[in-house]
Amino acid sequence: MSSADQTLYEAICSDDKRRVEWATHQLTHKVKAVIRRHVLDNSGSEEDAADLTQETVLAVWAQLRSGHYQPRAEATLDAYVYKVMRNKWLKVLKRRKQVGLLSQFDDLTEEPTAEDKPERLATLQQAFSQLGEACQELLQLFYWDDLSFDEIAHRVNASAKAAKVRKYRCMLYLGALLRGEKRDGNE
Amino acid sequence: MRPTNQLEQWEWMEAYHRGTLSADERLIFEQELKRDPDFSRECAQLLAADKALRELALAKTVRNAVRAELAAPPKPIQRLRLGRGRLASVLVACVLLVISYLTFSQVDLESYRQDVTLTQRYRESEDDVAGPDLTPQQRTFYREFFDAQAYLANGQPQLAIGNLEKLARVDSLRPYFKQAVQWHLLNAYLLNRQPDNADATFQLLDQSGQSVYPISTSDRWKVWWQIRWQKLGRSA
Repeated sequence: MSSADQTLYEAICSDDKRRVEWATHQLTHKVKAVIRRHVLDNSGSEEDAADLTQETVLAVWAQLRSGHYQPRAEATLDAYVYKVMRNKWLKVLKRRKQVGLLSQFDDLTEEPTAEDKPERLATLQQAFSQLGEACQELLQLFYWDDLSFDEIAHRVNASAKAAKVRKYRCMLYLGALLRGEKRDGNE
Repeated sequence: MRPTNQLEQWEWMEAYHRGTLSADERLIFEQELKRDPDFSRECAQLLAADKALRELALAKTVRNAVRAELAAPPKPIQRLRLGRGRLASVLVACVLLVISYLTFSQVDLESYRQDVTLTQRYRESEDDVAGPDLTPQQRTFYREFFDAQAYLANGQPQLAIGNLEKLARVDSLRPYFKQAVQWHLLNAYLLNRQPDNADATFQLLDQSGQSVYPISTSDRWKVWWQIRWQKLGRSA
């Protein structure tokens, strides 16, 4: 792995949103043209290419972050991204029953890879979607938008203390869902 | 001590997860975790939720960044500038390369020494082979010229200049031989760091009518540039 790849890898795995944002821009910029070419050359559309880029980069980010993919000296990050992309596109074509078209591409593999395993992200997303709208909004304001409790209180028309209490209640409900525990209360 | 207020208790849990509790508080907190299963469960739920929410927030950051990158229009102006910049760099590098070549690459006078047109005529006359007879004066001219070439080859331009200047003053030389003399003389001047004399000889060579003595274009450019280079170096 080159030093540029290493920098990108560290930024992607970071908890700092700005670093992750920077790394995502870099990675997407590096691979978007190749992904587009691959999709257009293999019976896809511009829209498919955009979707596949989105899914691929997100999957790569999740894999790197979870530690499923370990950087190796002899492998570039690009090569890993392209492998994820090819597998994802193969799945799309299979769903569309166009696998026959792919027989000419020997490099496409159907071997299951880490990125094909059920995504933790999807599980989290599903649990989050089970929260009530008020909870979702409040947690998004805090975690997504990084607002302070005073700002959140203003947005949700409550006191800062009430917003804080509500936030913890929502979190407890989400935590219970994730841990498979039943919880009283209607969130 | 464990807070009694519910909100403070949640904040206490959060502080524990962030690692901001003191060692004593931490000890008390961990005792509570062991002692109270409800407290322990709530603590685990908060931690799970916090981790999940941070991850979902980062995932959203990633999605937004990909979307923004895909939506970003190509930057033709910036690329053009970059292209121009690179092109300019390449051009500058090429110009520098050419200048370095013209400045530091000497004319290979040895290649002019193998001029059969001159050497053969002289040898034939010396060996009494049938061919154009040379007068004693012509033979002297040839000898002077070949000596001058040898001086140049030995790095003695001053001696070469003596011979060549003498020859250059002779009016009866045929154009081929005259141009050969002028060419060697201007190179001798250059080697002897006399750019003004070299320049004057270069102009004489240029004005001597049709070019019959073969001088390569790159060599012409070399001497032209080196004359200017030496003049520049002298005035600096």
